[in-house]
Amino acid sequence: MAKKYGMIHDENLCIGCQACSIACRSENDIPESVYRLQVRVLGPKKLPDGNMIFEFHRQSCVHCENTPCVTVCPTGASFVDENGISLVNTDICVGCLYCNAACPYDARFVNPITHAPDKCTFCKESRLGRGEEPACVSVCPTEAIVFGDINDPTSKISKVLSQRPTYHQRADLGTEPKMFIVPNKKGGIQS
Amino acid sequence: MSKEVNRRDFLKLSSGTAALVGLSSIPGTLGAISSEQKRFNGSAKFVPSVCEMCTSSCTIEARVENGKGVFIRGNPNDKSRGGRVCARGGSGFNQLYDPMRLINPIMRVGERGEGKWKEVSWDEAYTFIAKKLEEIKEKYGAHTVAWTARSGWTKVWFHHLAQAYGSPNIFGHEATCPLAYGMSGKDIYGSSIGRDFAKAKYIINMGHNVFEGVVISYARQYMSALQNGAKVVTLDPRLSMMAAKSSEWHKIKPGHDLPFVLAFMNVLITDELYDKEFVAKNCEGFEELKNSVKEYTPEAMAKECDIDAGTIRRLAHEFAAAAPKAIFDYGHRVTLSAQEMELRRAMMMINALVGAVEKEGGYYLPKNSKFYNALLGEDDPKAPSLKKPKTPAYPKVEVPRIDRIGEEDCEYFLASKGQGITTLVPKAALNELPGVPYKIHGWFIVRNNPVMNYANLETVLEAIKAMDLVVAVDYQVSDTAWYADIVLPDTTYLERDQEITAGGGKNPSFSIGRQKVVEPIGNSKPTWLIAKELAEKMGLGEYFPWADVEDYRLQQVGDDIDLLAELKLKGLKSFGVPLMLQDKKSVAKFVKKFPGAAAKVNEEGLIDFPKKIQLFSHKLEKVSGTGGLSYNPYKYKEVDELFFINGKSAVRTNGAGANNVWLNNLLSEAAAWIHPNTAKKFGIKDGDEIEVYNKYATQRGHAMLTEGIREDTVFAYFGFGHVSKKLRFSGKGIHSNSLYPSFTGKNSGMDLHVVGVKIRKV
Amino acid sequence: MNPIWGSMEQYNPIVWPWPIAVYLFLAGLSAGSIMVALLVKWNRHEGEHNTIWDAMVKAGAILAPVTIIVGLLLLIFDLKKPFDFYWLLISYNFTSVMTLGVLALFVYTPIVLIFMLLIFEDTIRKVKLFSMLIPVIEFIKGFHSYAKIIEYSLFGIAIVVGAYTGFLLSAIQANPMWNTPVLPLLFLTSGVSAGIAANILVGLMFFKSSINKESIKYLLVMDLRVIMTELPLILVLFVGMMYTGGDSLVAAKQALSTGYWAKVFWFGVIGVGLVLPLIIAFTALRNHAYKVGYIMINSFVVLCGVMMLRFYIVYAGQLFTGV
Ligand SMILES: Nc1nc2c(c(=O)[nH]1)N[C@H]1C(S)=C(S)[C@@H](COP(=O)(O)OP(=O)(O)OC[C@H]3O[C@@H](n4cnc5c(=O)[nH]c(N)nc54)[C@H](O)[C@@H]3O)O[C@H]1N2
Ligand SMILES: Nc1nc2c(c(=O)[nH]1)N[C@H]1C(S)=C(S)[C@@H](COP(=O)(O)OP(=O)(O)OC[C@H]3O[C@@H](n4cnc5c(=O)[nH]c(N)nc54)[C@H](O)[C@@H]3O)O[C@H]1N2
Ligand code: SF4
Ligand code: SF4
Ligand code: SF4
Ligand code: SF4
Ligand code: SF4
Ligand SMILES: [Mo]
Repeated sequence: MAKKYGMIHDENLCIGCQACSIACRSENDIPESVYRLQVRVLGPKKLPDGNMIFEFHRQSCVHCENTPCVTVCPTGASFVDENGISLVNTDICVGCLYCNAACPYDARFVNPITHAPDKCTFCKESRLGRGEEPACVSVCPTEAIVFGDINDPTSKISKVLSQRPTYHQRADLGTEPKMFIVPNKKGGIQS
Repeated sequence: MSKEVNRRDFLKLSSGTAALVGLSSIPGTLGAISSEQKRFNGSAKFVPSVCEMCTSSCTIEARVENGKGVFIRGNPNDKSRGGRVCARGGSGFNQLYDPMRLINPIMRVGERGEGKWKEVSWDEAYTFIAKKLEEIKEKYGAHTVAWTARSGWTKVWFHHLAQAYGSPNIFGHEATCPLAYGMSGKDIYGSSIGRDFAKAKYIINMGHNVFEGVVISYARQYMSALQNGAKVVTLDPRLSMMAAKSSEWHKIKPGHDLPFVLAFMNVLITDELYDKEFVAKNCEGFEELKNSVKEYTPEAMAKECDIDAGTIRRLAHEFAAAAPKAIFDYGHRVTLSAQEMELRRAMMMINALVGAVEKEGGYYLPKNSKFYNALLGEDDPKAPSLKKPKTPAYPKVEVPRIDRIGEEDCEYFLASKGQGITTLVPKAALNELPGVPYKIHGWFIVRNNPVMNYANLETVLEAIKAMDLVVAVDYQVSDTAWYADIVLPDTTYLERDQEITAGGGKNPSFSIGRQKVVEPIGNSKPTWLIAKELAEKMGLGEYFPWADVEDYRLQQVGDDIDLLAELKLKGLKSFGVPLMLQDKKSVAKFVKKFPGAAAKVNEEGLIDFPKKIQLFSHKLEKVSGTGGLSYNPYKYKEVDELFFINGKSAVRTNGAGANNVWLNNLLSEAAAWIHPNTAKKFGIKDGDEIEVYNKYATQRGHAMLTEGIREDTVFAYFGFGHVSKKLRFSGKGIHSNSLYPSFTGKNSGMDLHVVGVKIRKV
Repeated sequence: MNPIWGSMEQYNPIVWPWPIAVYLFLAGLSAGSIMVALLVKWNRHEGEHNTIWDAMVKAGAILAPVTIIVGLLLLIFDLKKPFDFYWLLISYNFTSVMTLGVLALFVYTPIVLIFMLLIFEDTIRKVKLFSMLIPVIEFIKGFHSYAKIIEYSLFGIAIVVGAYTGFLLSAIQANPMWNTPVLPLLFLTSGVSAGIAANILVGLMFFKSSINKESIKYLLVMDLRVIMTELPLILVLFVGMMYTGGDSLVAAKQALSTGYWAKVFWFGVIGVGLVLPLIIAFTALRNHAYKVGYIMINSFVVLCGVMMLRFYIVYAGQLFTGV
């Protein structure tokens, strides 16, 4: 069976330290001015009990099941590989940015070197091939990111998904992201 | 195995922006050499080493990746760090190839701080320094040159050289950071003391923000405690990341942690919540302690610390109930009050009072080989002990050190000589200190940046300007290097081998130190070599009887070549099994592994403390009448001023970050946190440019309005507002230390990082 | 909290900037003006002249190819990889509105060029410079028996081109103002409106000798009707957004009330583009008065309005997404 790669970002474990962002840059040669990944620290938000928390928003491609970016791409440069990873073939991309406009998650940016849209690739080109976890996952100090094959019931990601409630950003759009978010328990978004 | 990557190729690939243009105006920096020379050789296999993007010294491994550069990750063999690194740790490659890093010695040609330099050869540099040191020695004596080297690896070499030269004035950075808790541990427990965060069920955290002031192992432990349902109560004047993750956050008044701790202690004792049996058996001085904290009731202290009495009581009761899986965290940067010695001692005594020492989820004594081996029987295998190569005796010095450590009545007697009170150096350059019959005339500064990191910038700059010689050893032209006479380029940690280090948590451990991942760039040299070559130039070559680090390591391990081989391969090694003396299960496991240790186990199945826990300090009492605990209110600010405090940002290291592009792009300027109600009073809006000022200085920055701070407090991330004009990102944000007073903590010698300021819109 | 996650520059919501707005305007205008030219050609026979010489037909014949080519050049110039644009022609994705648009333009552009050649045959024959085009014209005229079919198909493709500019945006689900079936209709009608105005302007300026007052009046009436349909379409657009609720509702409210683009909407799109032409029509040009000055002002105002509508939809649609 083909793999279906997905990722979990656990807001409870995330400390907004940006180690993931730097690791991504270092491993994937991301030019200095742009980001495949940012972790936004939002807030503080006041809770009913008077405590305050921050919210952690991972800003990156969520690897939609139903990919607006692929649907609109006129040349087929935006595509999804056999393992469910959304990618860009820069060779046949014309840089019309239709995909950027279509992505509801602001995941894409123009790479100043290739001039094509760029985005999180789940480290397909740099690490998956070597059998390694994505760079951001491998460095996260508090293990707030989990990556793996959702089709494999024995994978860590499947286990966590079965144990913890998760939600999707902008679920209303029907894009069915493969990025799952464990909400801040203290925040009581969903418990 | 060796891969060669051309820098130009790398840049083409990785750097879209023209960040390199026009930066290389300081001679001797990497940006100033042609791109052909910018090649590096390195290992394509992961090499275990130790991160030095900050002194948390996490274990890492790194490799040269074809066509890209160097990828750094945590050492997966290290359980405590889980193979993880922080943002700064991941940016090491950025530092390696920073166009602003120094790769040739440079010498000042203009005034100090004017920024006029010429590149010189190593030989010229050594000759200049040796001659100057000789001159000072003749004119004022060798003891008038202070040597400060940041703790750890560089210290070994330069403290050695200093003493061979004849100066007793050797220092680390400690008085600006952790010294008071180190001293407290020594006084109370006879050594430093560890915290078993991961297993704790209840933690009181007072301004220990491990989620931004990152120490990977602590951050992971705290997080697993939280995940396992531990209650963490954080007292911090602002909503730190730790506060935001904690079960409770209390906005304690800056500088007023001690009244809280004393009241907490008062409740433990008055309400008889302490572990009487444990105290009776393992502690000394309880009655004196009881007397000394009698008056500090929660009601009396509530006003001081701004935490209400009921809360103090509740927390003390909860804490005692959770003991022994309870930790009163004594912090890390302990410069938050005028009475650091009392504060940290009080914190540490609380765990003893509730009997949470040498038990899972509490405190534990660090067990190095000496400690561990002492418990073992004759037939048990022993933990290796590292040897120190034999070197000639140092010349005898007749005068006291400037901090008088070593003198009978010295108030800082709890500090070791290698720590010392480095913050006294600027003061001793400007005036003779009491009991010290001389001034300081030269400063040899290695891996330390007083201009950014010592309290009161004005004093530091004045002192530097008054000196005859200032040498800086750094990998970049730091703010301090900017004011030096000569700057020697160290390699970065990815380019050097270092000696083996030994230590211990719950059992003894060893680390390879650093291993070279890439060949040194340009003419930079590792500190061991700089010290050795300079010694040779000064005619002190006999003090350095090792050819290189490999030779030194061999002398360290003696015959134990296997240890060295394993360390080189894995990076680290531990010996035996974890041991908690007061935990039956742990002791049983230990004895099973080392049957000879059975002789040390008492009838309860535990091992006694090697030394009684001291709840009263006779020596402090004798030296300065401070054996018990007492609170002396201190005036940090005028009534119409606000408190100014600072702290680490997760993406910057102390005062060393102004050249790192990756990190500066994440956070280029630290805004001043101001409560909206306060801001309103001053007509300040979010994002406004403001001035933060007091009698010492005026600093400019931007306001960030947030409810995550007390109304009477202004907070800014530390490490911004650099003074060197040639750092890539200098001048942005607030230079905290220009606002802080010149202060020396009683008994601790600590700097003070709480002060009064005013704010205004510009 | 400080933004410690780095620069937000790459998250500029304006992914498609002004050249796209201008392109959408030009493509709509091109389709509109060729449709208008064809309508005049087919429907205005009663005059003494052959309608082929009607200024409106000429204006359309020249405007349609010129605007679409300028528009396409602008579009290609705006690509991040302009030299790779040929991939648009050799690699297709039929779920992409852009691919469908490319195909439509692939057919449309040559035909409007041919239409121009035929309409201006006499001129071409007179000017030496264009003599190499004569064999082409001769060749095309060999197919004269298919002329009507080709004209009808051209009209059809023009509708496709005019509407596709709207579909291009409406395919984007993330932007509520774009993601509505009203947009293609709105763009098509406003394209026709622009086509009428542009044809009249160009006709009055360059082909005075062949002006047919009746044609102009016919078009003015038509324009009035088009404008009267545009107003309800815009109304439906916003009512639809508000009715959808959630992000759409927020987006609609913001787009109508906040900042620069709300002003552009009320003063530019509604005021200049729709109300002003109506005022002119019911005052200065009442009862089909033939006042050249006012007619030209009216046409200019309509063009401005349509242009502002495109700018407004492109920018406000990207800026106000309700999240
Ligand atoms: N106001 C205020 N003052 C503070 C603090 C605060 O929070 N607020 N924090 C305090 C604390 S906790 C500490 S520990 C001190 C830290 O003070 P310092 O010991 O000065 O530490 P850093 O700024 O980390 O680094 C010092 C210098 O080491 C250089 N360096 C880095 N790597 C290398 C290397 O490999 N070789 C050599 N030779 N040099 C290197 C850097 O360029 C920098 O110039 O500051 C203290 N000062
Ligand atoms: N990212 C990053 N990590 C680092 C470092 C770094 O420079 N950057 N440096 C390393 C070093 S050298 C050290 S020593 C550690 C330091 O680690 P910590 O001591 O944990 O960190 P700081 O941020 O210096 O200070 C901790 C907290 O003290 C709070 N605080 C300030 N004044 C007061 C007060 O009066 N009372 C109380 N209760 N709280 C107060 C601040 O708001 C801050 O949240 O971090 C280490 N890790
Ligand atoms: S590395 Fe982990 S903890 Fe840090 S910001 Fe990224 S996800 Fe959050
Ligand atoms: S920019 Fe490239 S990848 Fe994106 S839609 Fe256009 S052709 Fe496809
Ligand atoms: S998040 Fe955006 S780029 Fe990623 S798959 Fe979804 S639509 Fe495409
Ligand atoms: S998975 Fe890889 S590409 Fe995606 S954000 Fe993480 S490190 Fe970057
Ligand atoms: S905390 Fe970060 S920078 Fe400091 S040693 Fe560890 S990985 Fe390196
Ligand atoms: Mo520190």
